[in-house]
Amino acid sequence: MNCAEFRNLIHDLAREDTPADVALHDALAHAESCPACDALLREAEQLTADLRLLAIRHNSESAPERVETALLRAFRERHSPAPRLRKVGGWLAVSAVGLAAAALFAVLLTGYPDRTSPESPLAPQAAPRETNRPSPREMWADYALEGETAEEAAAAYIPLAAEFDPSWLEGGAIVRVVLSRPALESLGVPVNAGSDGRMLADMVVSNDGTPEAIRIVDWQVSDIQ
Amino acid sequence: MTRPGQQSESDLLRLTAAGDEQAFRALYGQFQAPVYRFALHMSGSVAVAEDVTQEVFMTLIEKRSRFDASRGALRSYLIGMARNLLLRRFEADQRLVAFPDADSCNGAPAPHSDNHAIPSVPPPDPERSENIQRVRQAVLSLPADYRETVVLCELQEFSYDQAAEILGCPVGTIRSRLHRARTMLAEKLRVRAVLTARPEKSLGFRSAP
Repeated sequence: MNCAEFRNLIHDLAREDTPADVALHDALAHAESCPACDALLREAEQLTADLRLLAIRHNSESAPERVETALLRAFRERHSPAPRLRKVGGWLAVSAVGLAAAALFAVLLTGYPDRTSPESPLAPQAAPRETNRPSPREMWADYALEGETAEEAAAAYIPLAAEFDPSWLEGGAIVRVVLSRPALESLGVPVNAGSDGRMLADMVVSNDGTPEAIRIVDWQVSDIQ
Repeated sequence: MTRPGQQSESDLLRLTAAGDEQAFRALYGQFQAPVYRFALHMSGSVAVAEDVTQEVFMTLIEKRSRFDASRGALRSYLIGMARNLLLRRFEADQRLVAFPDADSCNGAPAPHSDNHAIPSVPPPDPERSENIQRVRQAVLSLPADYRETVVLCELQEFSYDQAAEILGCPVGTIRSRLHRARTMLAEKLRVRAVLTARPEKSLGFRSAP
């Protein structure tokens, strides 16, 4: 083995990580016979030792607790309902306009529906609340008021998520809340210009606690009912 | 029921994305230290290491991660993410200044030189500690692609295969970069040793007669 070959291997030797096909004895024999290469090998071994010491010095280091605290705060904010509600404000305005346009379009196409006609899409359905969550569409039945159909409930509620999926309603609950006008407006719910006080609303809350939809029950309440 | 510690990396990620705080804590507990240490060794700055660690895990919280278990381990993926953030930072941050080294690297994205430098542990042997400090500074003065190889293979004791997975290059490249990086380190430390041994000469002073 000559000096050039030895120097190509020097760091592998110092790290005790020589490739399998290398004749280790040849390399060490060269180091013994060549003082310059021997000195380089010692230097490389010292470097290995120093790097290991540096690694040991830091191998118990970890991110300070404040990083975890900040991340957990962000995690909770991300997964709590509040920011979601704030974010959907703009979308809700668009969705409300969309719903109104869809309703107008339906009225123009079909004329005012006759609630007594069994063919009417708005005709009461047979006992929707007694069915056991039969389909996503009918899941709204659980959130309908007395005498109201699933479709009517679905039309009355304004979804609070950009990509609302009715299956989120499964296992959810209605929470009746009293909200101020600014709170409603922040949700993107269109507020009657004359309503300055507090309003009564039903909020559909899914089983993970996320508000999914809202509808106004009473535009003017004096106290919690 | 499976506890967070027993769940696979993919399960923990999925649960984290679904809002499971325990899963996120488990994920963070398992992977924050290697990510933080990588950022610390690469930047030489506690503040940068904290920022980068936070940013890596924020990506998981915000469901922006594109982890694919078939392409490698989550640890490699997270360190790879930290690496990208650091490289972007090195490129963008004009406050970065080269380590004041006699033979500092050409065009190397230099690490931070701020008030949050890696804290030094009280030395049991001052001379040895000083030596380690010199090695640390020499590592920090390496060009980024050599520095990251040294940090992964020498300071974090990753195998060549794992380092190749993190850096997205062949194992042969890792081997050759490590060889080159160690040669550069040895040269830097040799120069330092000479400068340290003869400070008055390097500063141009002559001793009084």
